[in-house]
Amino acid sequence: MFHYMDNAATSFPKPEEVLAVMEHFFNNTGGNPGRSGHRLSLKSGEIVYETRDLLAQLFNIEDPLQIVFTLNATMAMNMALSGLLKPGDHVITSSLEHNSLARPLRYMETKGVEITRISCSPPDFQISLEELEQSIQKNTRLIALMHGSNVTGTIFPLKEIGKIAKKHSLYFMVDAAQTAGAYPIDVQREGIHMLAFTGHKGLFGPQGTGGLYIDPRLKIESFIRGGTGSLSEEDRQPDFMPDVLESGTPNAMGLAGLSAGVKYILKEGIDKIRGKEEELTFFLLKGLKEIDGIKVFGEESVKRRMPIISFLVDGVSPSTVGEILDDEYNILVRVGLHCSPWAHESMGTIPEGTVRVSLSYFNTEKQVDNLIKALKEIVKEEVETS
Amino acid sequence: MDSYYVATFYSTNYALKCERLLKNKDIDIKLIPVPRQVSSNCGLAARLTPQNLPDFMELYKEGLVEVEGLYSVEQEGKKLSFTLLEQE
Ligand SMILES: Cc1ncc(COP(=O)(O)O)c(C=O)c1O
Repeated sequence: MFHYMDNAATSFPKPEEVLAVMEHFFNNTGGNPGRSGHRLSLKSGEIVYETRDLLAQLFNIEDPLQIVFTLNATMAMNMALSGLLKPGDHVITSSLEHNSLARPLRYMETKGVEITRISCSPPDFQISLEELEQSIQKNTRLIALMHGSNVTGTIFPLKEIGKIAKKHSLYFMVDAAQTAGAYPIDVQREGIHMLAFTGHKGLFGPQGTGGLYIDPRLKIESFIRGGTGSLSEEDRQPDFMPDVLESGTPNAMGLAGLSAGVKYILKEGIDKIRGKEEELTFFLLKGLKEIDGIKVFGEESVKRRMPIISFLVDGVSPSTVGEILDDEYNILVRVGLHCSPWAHESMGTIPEGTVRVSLSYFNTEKQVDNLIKALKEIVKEEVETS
Repeated sequence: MDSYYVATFYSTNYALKCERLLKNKDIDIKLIPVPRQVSSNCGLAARLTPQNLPDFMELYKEGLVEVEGLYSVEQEGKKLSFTLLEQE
């Protein structure tokens, strides 16, 4: 048996209902959602609609049709940025962002969009709200930030940032890739105008599912146009949501799976999921602290961080630690830069990166224990490290 | 003589949303292909019984469902007659 501890990359295992629902779709539903009038197309459309409805419940979104489905969070953020920003606009972001936000922003910079990065420094890598507010300019249009960091585990205070956005009449976009399903998110309470999420991490759906919520007062331009099953006699794109941004046949079977993932979260309760993950994080942090020769990054309080922990082992490179854990102990973690050069720059861990352990609701205390034991042996060089 | 109502929509998603909102109120409406007697932008329509109509109208007036057209239908034998009641 192996211990899977790379849930920040993609969650594994998933609740068994997820496969059951997809299998049912494969064997019984099959139709193209919302395209034809027959019962299987209708059924498929209902399943996709139900997925929207469940996500709307989870994020407290008033109208499920304000959710656009995409392949993943990356596509959602590209859609949001390219549909909203014009040359001359200014965007405020953080120095922890994943490449899925950093790269589209860097690209838009070449098209005349201005960017300010707020630094997030050790020990907790938290964002400074004063600095954020002070960096607002006349042409600032958008604050675009992650909710939870995939490298340091930092959780940004969305409600406070949302207040700043509101006070200065700015749009607020959140990358919830690491927190959706694992930490409460309420788009109304937090003043979020755009929420990008991916289906395959904390939401327990399959890969190839994700989406973007857009505030109804906000109109963004589509970067993809095509068939929607609506206004078929028109050769122009419909202007209503979600069709304006959702062209082509969606991943209906994947979305069926995602609906089962979200249902599972709603049934278990997000507080219970979060509680278990906090407990596991507590054990992990405690265990790591007891080992001389391990440097842990980020916030110490489990209340203020995700179950994502980066660390370094004295004298052993992260890639070697990852290899030993995989080969000798059957423990699967991710090492390196985690698609996040900005974050590792902030941590001073370029170019080798760190070892990252990311836990989920399905990990156990025993597994965390085994990881700590393994690391103790690695530090004491009881296993070959070169 | 049988009578019922037919609502048409701009998109399938609006039809599905309407179905879901009514289902949440334990009202079963039936989504049907748009009858040939009416024209619509979307291939799906909702069939409502006279008992369903008040709840449907409530959602419509609150702006929760967007409807392209609402028709009353009278059926006598094989003959159907459609009367337009509301149009966006
Ligand atoms: C913080 C963060 N944002 C965005 C992403 C991108 O997610 P996806 O690859 O599903 O688009 C990830 C995960 O890789 C992430 O950790």
